Formats: sequence, structure tokens, C-alpha cells
Amino acid sequence: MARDVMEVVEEIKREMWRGVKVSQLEAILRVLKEASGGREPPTLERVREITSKIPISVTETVRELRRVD
Amino acid sequence: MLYVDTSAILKYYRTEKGTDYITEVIEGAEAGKHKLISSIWLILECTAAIQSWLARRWITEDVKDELISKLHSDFDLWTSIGSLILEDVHRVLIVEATALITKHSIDPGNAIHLATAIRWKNQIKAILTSDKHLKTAAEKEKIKVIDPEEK
Repeated sequence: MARDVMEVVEEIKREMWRGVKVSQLEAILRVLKEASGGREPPTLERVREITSKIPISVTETVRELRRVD
Repeated sequence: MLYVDTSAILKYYRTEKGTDYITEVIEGAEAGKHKLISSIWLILECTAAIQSWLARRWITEDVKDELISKLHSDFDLWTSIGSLILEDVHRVLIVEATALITKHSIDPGNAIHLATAIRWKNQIKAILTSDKHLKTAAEKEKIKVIDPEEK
């Protein structure tokens, strides 16, 4: 059973407070690993098969994320 | 060295206009032919893109986990072998990004990417992006832009 992702954040913060150097990249990758529920990464082919069902392009997805109007 | 924006790197994961070009660029970086650079903000935007597909029910929670796992595995690999450099979002960069929002009327995500790219201006050959707002702002900052959709 995967932990709550916020537990990892608290763990990282405790390490930082103890003076352990944790880079932004390392911390974010640890959060992502937990967020994936500990799954094995799929192949690129499997990923592309999944995303072929997304009805909008990634450019459009990013545009929507960045919308300011 | 090439600066890679979220709108470009995500094309690696979805077959569409520009996917062949980005795949070639990423495979070239993995083979040590060139380096890629971006802001660490890239990971947040890629994650948010996947999350937005879940929010719209285009993917299930299980599939979202699979996609996040692939992101984690690729970014871990690329950064550990040195094919991708991810710049921290630090305090000064936020100030620079704020200035760029007012200068170019761009959103915070584009501003963080542009501020990071400007810091590496002398080392990067171009910004890879399909975001028209980032393209326009980068060109005004005299940075060459390559749109994977036009390759």
C-alpha cells in the first residue's frame, strides 16, 4: 500500500530541518515516485497507446494549463 | 544545448505533430550527442498535464499512476546520465520571471521557462516549444525558437 504523498513531503522537510541537503530535483522525484503508487514504469509504446485516446494535443493541454484569460 | 519546454517534451509521450522530431532529440541526448536543459518547473507542468486528463476522466486513476511512473523513471534516468539538466526555481529567478510577465504579458509558467532560458542564453542553440506565447516572447529576447510541429 502506497503512502500518502504528503507523508513523503513531511519526511523530506524533516530531513532538511536536520540539515540534510536535499536538492529540488531529488525531492520532486521522490514525491513523483510516491505519487505513482509504486508502479513499474510502462513502456513508451504503452504510454503512447494510452495517450492516443486523449482527444486534445499536448500543445493544447499545456495551453489550457497556462491560460491566464 | 537545447532548451526544452513542456509543450515540446510531452510530444514524446503522445503521437502527434512534432513527435518524431522530439523523439529524435531525446534519443540524441540519451546517446550523448547533445544536452537538453529546462526548468524544474517542467516536471510540475508534465505532472499537471496528466492530472488534468484524469480530472476530465480521459484516463483512470490507475493509468494516471502508470504515466506518473513513466515520467519519474525518464526524468530520473535523463538527469542521472546528464542528458537533461533541470534548473532549480530559486528566489532570484522568480523575480526575473515576474519582470518577464509584465514585459511580455505571459503567464507564470512561460515566464519561469523564459527566465531560465535567458540565464543560459549563451549556451543554448534554441528553445524547443510549440507554445505561441513563449515563442513570441523568446524571439523578442533574441533566442532562437524551434517549433517541433514545424519540423
